[in-house]
Amino acid sequence: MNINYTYPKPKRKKQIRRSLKIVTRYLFIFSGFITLTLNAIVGGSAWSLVVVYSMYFAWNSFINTDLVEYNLISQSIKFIANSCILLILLSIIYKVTPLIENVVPYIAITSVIVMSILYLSDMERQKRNLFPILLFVFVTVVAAGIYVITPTYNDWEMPVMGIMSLSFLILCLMSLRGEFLRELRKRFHL
Amino acid sequence: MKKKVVEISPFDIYLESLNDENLDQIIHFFSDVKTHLLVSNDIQNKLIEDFQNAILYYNQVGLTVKESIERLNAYKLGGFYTRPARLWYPLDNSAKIYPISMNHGQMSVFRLSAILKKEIVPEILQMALTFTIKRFPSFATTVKKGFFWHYLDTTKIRFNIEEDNGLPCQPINIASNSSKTFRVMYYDKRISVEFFHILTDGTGGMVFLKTLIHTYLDLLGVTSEIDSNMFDINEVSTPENTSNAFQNVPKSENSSGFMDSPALQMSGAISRHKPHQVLHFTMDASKLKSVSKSYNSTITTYLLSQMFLAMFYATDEETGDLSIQVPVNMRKFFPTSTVRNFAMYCGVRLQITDVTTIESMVPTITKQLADKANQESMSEMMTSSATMVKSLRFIPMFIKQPIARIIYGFLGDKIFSNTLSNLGVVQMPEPLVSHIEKFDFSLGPTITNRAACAAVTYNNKTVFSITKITNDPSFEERLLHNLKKDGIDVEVEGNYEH
Repeated sequence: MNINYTYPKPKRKKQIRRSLKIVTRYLFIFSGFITLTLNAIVGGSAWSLVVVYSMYFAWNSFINTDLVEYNLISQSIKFIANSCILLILLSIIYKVTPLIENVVPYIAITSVIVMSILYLSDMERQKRNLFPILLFVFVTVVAAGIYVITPTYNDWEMPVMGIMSLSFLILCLMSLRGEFLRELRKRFHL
Repeated sequence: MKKKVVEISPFDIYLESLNDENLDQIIHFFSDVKTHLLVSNDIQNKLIEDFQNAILYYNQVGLTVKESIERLNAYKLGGFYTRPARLWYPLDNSAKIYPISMNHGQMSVFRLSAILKKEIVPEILQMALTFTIKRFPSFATTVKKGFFWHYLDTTKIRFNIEEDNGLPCQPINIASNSSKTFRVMYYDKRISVEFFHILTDGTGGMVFLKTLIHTYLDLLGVTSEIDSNMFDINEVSTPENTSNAFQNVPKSENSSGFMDSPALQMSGAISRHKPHQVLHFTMDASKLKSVSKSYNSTITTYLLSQMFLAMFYATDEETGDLSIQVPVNMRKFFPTSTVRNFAMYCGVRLQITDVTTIESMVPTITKQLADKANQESMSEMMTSSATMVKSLRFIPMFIKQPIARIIYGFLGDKIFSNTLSNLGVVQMPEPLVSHIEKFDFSLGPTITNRAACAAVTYNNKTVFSITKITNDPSFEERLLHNLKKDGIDVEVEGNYEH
């Protein structure tokens, strides 16, 4: 067929990311399967879950990145949330209670402080990126609330985490007022 | 000690060459422009640079300062860059699937192009886009993620033009907060606009392209009236222009499903790079019409028949159905001026054993189109789509998205073998006709369908475009062979194979 080429010659793009994704996907699936099988054969605690979740964490954070709203806040929150889940998993599997009651709240408190600074440093731009923080803050408030009403409640970290998160919510409400509600309306529209 | 080097721009040199009167006019003009640009310094500087480049171009072609600033009147900026970005748009019913099913490297993008008679002037095209975008507020948006659904959020960035890179319909990067959901490109005499389908359909996209061309030619001194299928950039966008027209359609008592059995696919191996190639067959529209008439069919039916024959040639399968998806513009049943998505589709399906001659297929295809692409059937499909959206609305995105991806991954476009989207005849106001050679319309690459076809007619030229994802040339070669056999002269254009 005689084609008249009416487009410029495309520059060859290296498809490193694409190839890396394909290789990693198969590698992770294979490793996950091997780990789960080994764990089932050897028995004992469900340590393979930590390995599988770590691979998912790496896949989700560095290889299969978000296609929408890929920004500093969303990625930081995603990283922190995944880290917390991994710690909770470790704590449950290896029965290390301080991880849930102490380390996770420390991370959450630090994150809320860092996010507040980031938000206040460029409010005009970051007000449109608030949603992931709000979800994170909501989860931490609920977690702190549940912890406070449990009979084993004796540490200060979880309540402080809840108070910090609530303070951040109030800060957002006070600084954005009507815009905060508009943002919520957009984010939760049906 | 290092001395700071102050770079003198071509515009500074130009300013130095002006007499006092002209310099005053320019200074006054730019202060007027600045009052229309209440945005961050970065964006303001870039937009001002665009104005400067356009003035330099006008100076180069011999326009006076007065004529230049009249053409670039800051009034044309309207209030777009002076108001905060507050508007947002929930996705229309058919757009909802696009962001939740997309993947890295797989995005529903389509391209509309106009080939002009003269080489494109990028400086003027940039200004045309800056003036046009405000009239399309739903296009001046970026995709955001909600808890239940994605939505379009207004963004007040500089919408820049890009040089065509020779790879049509590549995914658009919509990841950042200021990402565009469409791109305007130029190359030689061609202006192309590529849209993420979340924004608009072919008809809405064509309204944008026609308006952009009208503004571009107007800036080059070719004035004309606005016709009914383009927007006046100095008028305000109406709520109807950006409405979700699906919501205004009366619900049908019955509803129809979207599912069907998998269709046969052409046998060529899927290329690693998508699209592998885009080809444009340019044909004489009157000849195509007369040939179609000789088979007692319309142009769409004739093209569908030819596609079935070419697909039959390009597959090794011997049993099963070949099916072509035909998008249906809902505006013909429910007139509206919306530029958002307002199209549904139907499938024309034939058993592979029935794909024999055009004469034998035309009555079946005509009947199927009459039965499936009518108002009643389309209303039933819209009702199904509305019911599905309604039933999924309370499911959070983090549950909905992975499930949608898995289902879409399994089913994808497998119920069809190909697509034919015919935009029909494009008309432009008389003074502009002599400046435009032709239009073309290309669909984005599909997942499994080896080809997706689209057609558009302008000024007695029909351009039939094929977007391929395989390096097997059987489909297009057979199509070309059959069209020529019917006495239709075809001029083939395209991009380099990827």
